[in-house]
Parts: sequence; C-alpha cells; structure tokens
Amino acid sequence: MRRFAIISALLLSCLVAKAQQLRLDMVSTDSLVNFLRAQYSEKIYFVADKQDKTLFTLSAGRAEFFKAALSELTKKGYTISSYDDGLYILRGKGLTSELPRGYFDENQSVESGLLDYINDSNTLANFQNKVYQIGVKTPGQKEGKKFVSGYIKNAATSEPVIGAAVMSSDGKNYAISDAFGHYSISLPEGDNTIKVSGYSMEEMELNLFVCSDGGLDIEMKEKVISLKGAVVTSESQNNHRDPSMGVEKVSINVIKTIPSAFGEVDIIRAVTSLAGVKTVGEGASGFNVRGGSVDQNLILFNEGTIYNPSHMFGIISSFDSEIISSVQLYKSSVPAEFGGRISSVMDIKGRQGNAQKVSGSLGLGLLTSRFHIEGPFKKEKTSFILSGRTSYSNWIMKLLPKTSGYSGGKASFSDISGGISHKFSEKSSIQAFAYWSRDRFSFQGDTVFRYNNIDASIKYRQTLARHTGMTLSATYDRYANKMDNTESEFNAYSYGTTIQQISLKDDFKTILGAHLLGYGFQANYYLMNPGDMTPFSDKSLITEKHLAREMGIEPALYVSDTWTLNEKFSIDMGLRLSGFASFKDKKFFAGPEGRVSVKYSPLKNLSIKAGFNNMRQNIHLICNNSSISPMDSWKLSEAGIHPQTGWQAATGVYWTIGDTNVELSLEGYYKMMYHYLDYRNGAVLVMNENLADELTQAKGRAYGIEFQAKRTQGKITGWLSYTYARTQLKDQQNLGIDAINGGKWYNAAHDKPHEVKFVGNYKITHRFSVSCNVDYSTGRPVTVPIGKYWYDGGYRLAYSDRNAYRLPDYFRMDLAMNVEPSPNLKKLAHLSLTFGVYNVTARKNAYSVYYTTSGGAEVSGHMISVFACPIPYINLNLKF
Amino acid sequence: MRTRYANILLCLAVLLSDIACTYPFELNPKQVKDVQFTPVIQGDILVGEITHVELGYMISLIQDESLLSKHPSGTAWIENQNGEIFRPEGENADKPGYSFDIDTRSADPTSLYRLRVEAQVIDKNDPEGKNLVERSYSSQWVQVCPAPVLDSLSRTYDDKDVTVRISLHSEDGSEHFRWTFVENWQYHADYIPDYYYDQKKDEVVFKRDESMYWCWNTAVSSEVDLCATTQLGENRIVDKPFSIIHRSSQKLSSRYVIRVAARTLDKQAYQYLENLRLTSNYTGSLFSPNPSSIRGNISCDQDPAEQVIGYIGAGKVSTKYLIINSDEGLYKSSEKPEVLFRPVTGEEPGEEDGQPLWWFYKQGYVPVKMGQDPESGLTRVLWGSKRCIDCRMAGGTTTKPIDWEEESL
Repeated sequence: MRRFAIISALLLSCLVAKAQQLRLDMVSTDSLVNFLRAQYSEKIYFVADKQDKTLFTLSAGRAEFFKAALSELTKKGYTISSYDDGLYILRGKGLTSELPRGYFDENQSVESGLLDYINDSNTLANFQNKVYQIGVKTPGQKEGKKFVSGYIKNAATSEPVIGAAVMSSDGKNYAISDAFGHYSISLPEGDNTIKVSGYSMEEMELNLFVCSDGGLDIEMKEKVISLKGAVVTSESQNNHRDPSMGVEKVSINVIKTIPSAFGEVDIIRAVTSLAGVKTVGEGASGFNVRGGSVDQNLILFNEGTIYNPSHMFGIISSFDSEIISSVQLYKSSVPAEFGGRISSVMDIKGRQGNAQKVSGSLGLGLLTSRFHIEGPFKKEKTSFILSGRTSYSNWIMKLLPKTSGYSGGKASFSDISGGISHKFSEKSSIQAFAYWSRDRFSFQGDTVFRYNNIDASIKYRQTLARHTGMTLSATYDRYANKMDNTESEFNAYSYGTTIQQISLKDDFKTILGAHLLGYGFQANYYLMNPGDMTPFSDKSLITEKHLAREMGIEPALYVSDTWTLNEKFSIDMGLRLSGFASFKDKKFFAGPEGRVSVKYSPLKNLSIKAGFNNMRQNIHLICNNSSISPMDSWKLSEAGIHPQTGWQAATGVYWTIGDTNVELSLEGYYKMMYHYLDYRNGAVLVMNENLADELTQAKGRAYGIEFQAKRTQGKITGWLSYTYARTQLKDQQNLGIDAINGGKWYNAAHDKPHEVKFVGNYKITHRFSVSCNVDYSTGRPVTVPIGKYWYDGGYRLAYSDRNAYRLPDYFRMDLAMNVEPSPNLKKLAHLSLTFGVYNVTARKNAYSVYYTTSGGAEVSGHMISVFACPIPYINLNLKF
Repeated sequence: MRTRYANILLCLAVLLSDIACTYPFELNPKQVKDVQFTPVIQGDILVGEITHVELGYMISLIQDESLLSKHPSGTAWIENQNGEIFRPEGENADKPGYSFDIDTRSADPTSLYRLRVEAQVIDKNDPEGKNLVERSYSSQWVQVCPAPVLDSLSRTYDDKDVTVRISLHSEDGSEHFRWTFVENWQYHADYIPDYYYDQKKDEVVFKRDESMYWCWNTAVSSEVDLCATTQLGENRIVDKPFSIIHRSSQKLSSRYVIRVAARTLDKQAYQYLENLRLTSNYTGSLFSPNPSSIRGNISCDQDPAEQVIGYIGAGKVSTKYLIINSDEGLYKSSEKPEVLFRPVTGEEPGEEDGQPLWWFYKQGYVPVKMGQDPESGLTRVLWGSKRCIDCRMAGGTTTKPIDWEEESL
C-alpha cells in the first residue's frame, strides 16, 4: 500500500498530462512500467531491481507513447519478450520459450544447446544468504567436476576486482581473478560453498548448487575496516593455497598509508619496504630483488614494459596512484608466462574506471598536482579512466645548498595515463591503455637532461569454452633520453638513446580437473638506438655520429600447470622456452627456463614450500653508476655480450597464527647469476661502438633469509621484516691482474646484509589513522680512495678494490597522519588529508662518500646525504 | 593571517634548506687496509726537452702527510730501441736519488722509448715501513707522440673572472691532447717607503727603498688538463677554457704570464690520465660513475703483479705563452691600499701617540711616508704595517723568474 502511494505520488509529480500528450520526466524503470500498466491494457511482467538506477524521460502522443517506451527500454539494455499474452521486460537476455533443438537427444552435446544460452548470461551473486544454482541438470549428464566461471566486480563501480581469491570450502579448489576480474574454478556437482576474498573487499561466502558448467558473476563490496574483527584475508590464504613463493602483493590502499618523501604516494618506495627488496640509497631509481641488479626486474604496467619507473631522477615513481589497482612482485616463483628478466617481475595493474557513474579526484602535494576522472561511456559496458600529473618542483632545487651540487638546478615532469575498457559480452572484453611521461632537469645551466616514456597496450579476453580462457595482448613501449650540453660553444652537442619494444602475447588458461594449465606464446621485438650525438649548433665542431641501430626478436613458448593434488599438497610447474635472435651479428641464443614450486600444508594454517626456477635475460642496462641514471642506455645480447642467466632455489615456512590474523613467514634462498654485466675499471660507456670491450661478465651469488610478520586486518596493520642477505660478484672472464679485484669475489653495490623494515598503520577511528615506517640496513658497499700520492703537480687519489668499504649504517623513521573523508555519502566531494614527516630523527644517512683534491691542492673527504633533515609534508586529495 | 602563512612557509624553507647536503667525512681508520708506500714513478719522456723523472710513494689517506716526503732512493734512465741510453745529468747524477733530470733533447723521435728505474723501496710487508728492498721497474715501450700545433692562447672575461682558453690542433691525426702550464706574475706592494726606522738610534731615517716593492710569484698547474677530439669532425680544439682567474686576484694586478706546454697522447695514456682526472674530481653525486683506479704501464721486474703507480708516455712539446698587462683594465682590486696612520704627538721627544717609536716598530709598523698633519699643519711621518711596503709578505719573491724578461717582451 505504501509502495503504491509512493508510486502514485511520483507519477503525479512527474507526469504533466496534456490532452493526447503523455510525458515522463526522470522516472525509474519501475515507475515507467507502472505507468504503462496504468495507461494501457497490456499485461506487463517486470520485477523491480533496487540497484537499477536507470532513469527515463519520455514525451509522446498517447498513441505512440507505448511504442516509444518499449523502444527506450530496449535502448537502455532491456529486452522485451512476448510470451502467451504478456510482455516480459528483462535486463539483458530475453525470454526463451523453446528448448534447443536436439535437447532430448542423448548424443547431442549439451554445450551446443541450452548451455550456450545460459553461458551468455551469468547469474549475478551479491547476497550471501542465498543458494545460487549453477547451470541446469540435463539428462545423460556425466557426473564429476563442473566449471563455474565469471567476473568478480566491485558492486559500487562495476570495476573488475583483480587478484580476488575464489576457493571451495574444503580448500581443494582455488582460483584467482585475472586482470579482467575473470575467474574459473572447478567444483563438484551438488552443494558447494565458495569463499571469495579480495584486497580491500568484504569477504563473501556463497552457497552454490552446481548442476553443470555455468557462469556466476560476483559483486563484492569495498571493505569497511573492522576495528575489532579478525578476518582471514586473501593475502594470508594465498600463502596456504598457492604453491608459489616469494610473491608479494600490495594493494594501493596500503601503499597510500606508507609515509614517503614529500608525501607523494610512491609504488616503488612501497615495494622497497618489502623484505628482500633493496635500494642503493634514497633518491635512487629502481630497486634490487634478492641480489639482482636493477635491470633484472621486469616492470609491467598494464602489460607494457616500463624502462624507467621514476620521475625526478628517482624521488617520485612514474605511476599515479589514483589509477593503480594493485602491485604484485614476484621475487622467486615467477609464473612461466613472464620472462625476459632473471630477478623479479613487478606486475602493476591499472584500474579500469567506474562503470556506473562519473567520478574523479584532485590532488595537491608539495611537489605535484594531479587530476583523474573516470566513468562509463555506456553503463556496465564501456568505461574510461584518465589521469594526469604535473610538477612544480623547481622551488625545492632553489633551496638546495650550493655544496650539494644541485643548487640552482631545475626539475619538472608530467605524465598522462588513460584507459578504456569495453565488455562485448560475458565471454569477451577488451582493454586499451596508454601512458606518456616526460621529465626535464638540469643541475647546471649548461646541461639539460630529458627523458620520456610512452606505453600503449591493448588486451582482449575471450572465453573459448567454459574451462578455457584466452587473453591476447599487444603492447608498444618506448623510452628515450636526451642530453643537451652547451658548456662550450664549439663542443656543444646533443646526445640521446632510445629503446622501443613491440610485444605480442597470447595466453591461455585451462582448467582440467585438479590442474590449472597455463600456456601460450610471447614475442618481443626490440629496436634500439644505442646513441646519437649531434652538434648543438652550427658553431659546434662535434661530428654527427649515430651508433648502429640494434634489433632483436625474443620469442618464447610456455606452459605451466598448477596441480592441486589435495588440500595439503599442490605443485606448480612451468617450462618456458625462450630464444633471442640478434639481427646485428645474426646470433641466436636459446634455452629452457624451468619453474617448479611445491606446497605442503600439514595444518590448515601452516604451509611449507620449496621452489626452483631459472631464467634468461637478453636485454641489459648499461650503467656504471651505483644508482641507475635516466641517461643510461640499453643493450641487446650479441656475440660479445651473452644473455644473462640465473637460477634460484628457495624454501619457506608460512604460519597464520590462529585468529590473530598475523601471518609469519620465513623464506630462504640461494641464487646464482651468470654473465652479469659489470664494468672494467675506467670503462667508457657513452657512444662506444665497441662496448663489449669495456664490459666484463661476472657471475653472481646471492643468498639470504627473510623473516616477515604481517597483519592485514584489524586496528593495527602492517609488517615487520628482517632480512639477512648477501650478494657477491666475481669476474667471469680470465683477465689476469686486470680482473676486477684480482678475480676474487667482491660485494655488489646493493649488498646490505642486515635489514629491518617496519611498516605500520594504526586505525584510531574509521577516519583517522597514523602510519609509521622504519628502515634500518647495513651501509652499502662503496669504492673509496684509500691512498694519496703526489703526481703531475698535484695530489692524486688511489682507490680501493671495488666495493671494498661500506657506508655508515642506514636508519630512517617516518610518521604520517591520515584523515579519511567523511562517510557522509550525500556530499558532492570528499576531502582526504595526509600529513607527516619523512626522516623524523633527522639522521644524515650517507648516500655516497667521496674525496676531492681541490684541483690537486689538498685532499678532503665528503659525504652526501640526500634527505638530511626531517621533511614535513601535506597532501590533499579531493574525491568527487 | 598572511603573516601566519608566511611564517609557516619560512619555517618549511628553513627545515628543507638542509636537504641533500654534503658533510665532511673521514674514513674509519679501522676500515683502512694496508696501502703503505706503494711506489709512484712519474716522468714522461720529452723528446727535444729535458725529461724530469721523480720517484715517490703513495701513502694511506689517514697517514701523516709528512710521510709523502719519503722517497725511494735509486736511479733512473731512459732507453730506446736503437740501443741508446739516456742517463741523469748534473752534480749528483751518480748518487742515488729520487729526482732526475735526463737530457733527451737529442733523442730520436722515430724510436721507441722506455723508462727504467732501480731503487731501494720500502718493503710493503714491513708494517713499520723501515725495511728496504731492491726493486727494478720498467715501463712499456712507447712511441713518441708528435707535438700538436698550439694555435693560440686567449682570454675572455666577465664581471667576476678572466678565463684563459687554449686552441690547438694536430696535423698527424692525433686525437688526444694534454697540456700543463706555469703561471708567473708580477705584483707590487702598496707603497715604496721613503723612510726606515733605525733601531739603534731609535729614530726615523729618510731612505727610499724600492727593493721590496716589486715581487714575482709562480704557480704550476695541478689539474690534469686533457681533451679529446674523438667526437669532433676535425682534430682541433677551439678556445677551450682551462684556467679561471678572479678579477681581484693579485695575478692580474700588474703583469701576468701563462706559459703552456702541450703534447699529444696515445689512447692508453689519455685513458690513464682521464681516469686520474675523473677520480680526482669525483663528486659522488647520484649519477657519478663509480670511481676506480686503473693500472699504468710500469711494472716491477721482480713481481709483475706488484702495484706500481704511474704511466710513462713519450712525446714532443709545443709551447706558447699569454701575457695580461694591468693596462688592459681587467684587474679589479678588492683591497684598497692600506690607509697610513699618523700617531698623535707624545709629550716627550721621540714619542708618538704617547708611545715610544720602538713600540710601534715592535707592533709591526714601519715609517713609510711624510704627510701633513691637518690639525697642526706640521709635516709628520706616516706609519703603516710592514705588509704595505714588503711585497714578499703576499707570497712572492723579489727574484724575477729566469725567463721573465724574455716572456714579457
């Protein structure tokens, strides 16, 4: 009765009746249908959906109004089906009143008939206290496991939930949603309960009655942090379900709470706060994973390869946090679908944009401003996301003291990211993404550095059968750097390098009983410009010189199998056959890459794992600095530069302590690297046609143990880790007394044996939280002068063996206070605020030490500290 | 309100002003390994000139600098592949020493050369550095690099500095150049004194003394000045700046002469010296290449793996000099001539300013000129500090450099 009154009132308020003219303004589907029922005699069947926010505005003569209304309904995604004497208005697929032909024929494949129809219209699950029937029982159907697949999406925005875990209640079957939010799990016929958990999402428990293969889309709600409850999350469950090791996943919400220099949300800095990930110093670009060099990390952003992940020479990461969904770092068990680097893979997934309404954000920080907008082009079908950042950081360069060497410099950057996603049907969807960034900086007035990244990717997903999915992706990546040196008019020049990569990848996933098979192929094409030098002006005597372009193709075939034998035991196996053809000298390198990891869970909350993998790398960063520089160039393998290879054996124990939601892990590893590129003393790397002569190939060994205690739910969240790790190199070439350090083992630049890291967040209320970040490590190895002598009219310095000394130990503590927006949903915009202090204790951590001779006159020692003082910051973010 | 914001910004600026700074640093002595007394041999073979060879040691950074005055003791000679041997000349040529002048003026530029040294050096295995061992060292055979054409020396200037530039080229295809320079300059004291103080008589005596008015000073390049034309269209260096003189420098006050000696280098010598230059100017910044030492071309005959510092090259030299005279107006004196003071007349004869004359003398003052007392109208002696009449106190000598007149012409 009450409902009727409301509808009547609504109708009265919105209906402007004119003679023979009917008009409706901004009415819901429910109201429209009721209006049609009231005005016309047709029987109309329609079930209102409270979540349906579709609105209609119609105006037509009475005779045409009914037809116009049906047309408008069709346009907005409804189907009008006529059956018997009534009209059925349904969302999506219309009513089918006939069974498929041959339905009762036992020899007919079930998948060709009704199931095809069902497959195209997944059941939507968003209630936990309901039993969802999957598929239909058909005569003659074979018993056994059935496949349930579908998409997991955010209920508020319809964005796919990436990396959500779907598992059967007995834990035997397990699936993870992919970049499209798609999952596929095999379940036994009959009653099943599945648990669905995702980062920052409310966990769901769904009751299913599985009759046959079928679809189930799942809508998850964003988590409202519980202040008391202790819930087992997908993070900890993954460790007990998934045999893979050394996989770290950090959600963007966690990253946003980690204090960082100048308050810029920084994915790279967040990753370096994880156990086993090191960096050579503050302000340094890149990171080192388990002893690997910086170029041994494959950084993927929506499938595209990022060759320089930092802005402003390493202070800020290249990625705008507003468009990032999650970051996953593979330190040990790298899936067979990834290859090309021998240390790690960092897989950054971008968001696809709100598919229901337009929203966005504005951010203001000390160094940058950012803006992002997202929304649907077509609700539930096509969405977009666009973001941009720009800097105004010159003021900070002016503050730097003259002794820093950067005083009076300038630094600026901009980046733009954008993506479009479209869902063709339940079976197929497509994503396109593009990223562009540029940096410009100068430390002295006469040398200007520039670099830019361009990445574009397109990814198409198709469900081939209920148990097989295919993802086809193509990417284009380009990184270019350029330097203009105008120090001398007659020697003024421009110098630059470029790397371009085009990749094609076709990845398949098939579930066969207890096996999750992955297989596919990948091909990368590289085009490299190792160096161009051109005169800057007509007066310059510099000869225009272009080093020969390098090209290469890197094909790979791979197959993997995640085999869940039972609840306790599972195994992950993979084989990747990768090759590399260098066009320069017609050389071809190829070799197998094996991946295996085994999990045994004697208890539900205790797992033991062991794994082994070997990898190959055909592209190398040419860098003779401790920290990589934006001006470094890349080099392809060729006759004198072998592909880098490496293997890693690792084992670990994982224990989730009862209901405390604390996960303990202890992992140990041993790793060997071959043809690791190092540099001969006095090497000249720029514009060198015979670069191989300046390089030496070393073998590396890295070993260590990583202990981590992690809590992802509750009032206090975060992790505490301790790492003991060593990384050493040894000249592999027989250079006699010219070998680095006489051919003995020496420490790598990032060898920091002891590391303690703490990242913590304490949620005081739903809106207020405090974060703390603590980082301690042994000082990194450095090459320092150890002797002085008089030569050629001045003091000169003699240097120690490579990396024979260490900087003083590193320690830093950061604090931040986060204020979340008001929960009042009626507000047009929500303001969040973060303020904090980086390096609270003002410790002057050494980035490097060096000695000068003042032009030969006297010898004095100096230490550079990048962030030598507490850096207060404030960051405002306005969401709308 | 605006003031409050301004204060906040000011506080922020002060807090941030310490970002990315350099601080003094000393190696932890416990970390420093034994690097004592590694032999250092220097002395490029200058065909057509006198070759100077010197032996020394490298010492640890944390060791007392006075240890650099220790030297190996022995002899050195130069050999060429024609079988000629060039030995040190001079009074003490037969005695063991560490500094040798070898006459290579008549050396054949088409032959290959090497330097040989025999000396007693400190045994590196002796922690106290007292035991001596006999060692002989040989450099690799090297070709004589032809002299470059030194096109010009020029100077440019701005408000602050005068920059000296070099232009040179090679006619034989050499792509690597180095040069050294010697600076000589003349300057003078503020005043020529007309009086002196006679200590015995305790009185001021008239005597004009010009002997301390003119001085000469000298400086040798301590930087490693190098240049390569490998990226250039021709083997020519044009107006490369290599020496900067502040316009208030004493060097420009009267007459300044810079004498440049330039050579070409082979690639190996260039790489050695370039590394020496880079590591001496290493700044440890974010993108600085990692420093390292590279081996020279000298080895120990007894143990080739033993470290010896130095690279012996051979070449012919081109020289040129540039003169900057004070009448070019480049000198901007930062100090005005010292103002002479006139002591107040004392009550007793022989006293000035209530103090006896010897008291002023003991304080370091000297009588300089005669001047008129504006109060009494009487003419009186004006005193000044010794520095204003003695140019030697600014670091130079009153002895002219040997070739000063020749270069000044």
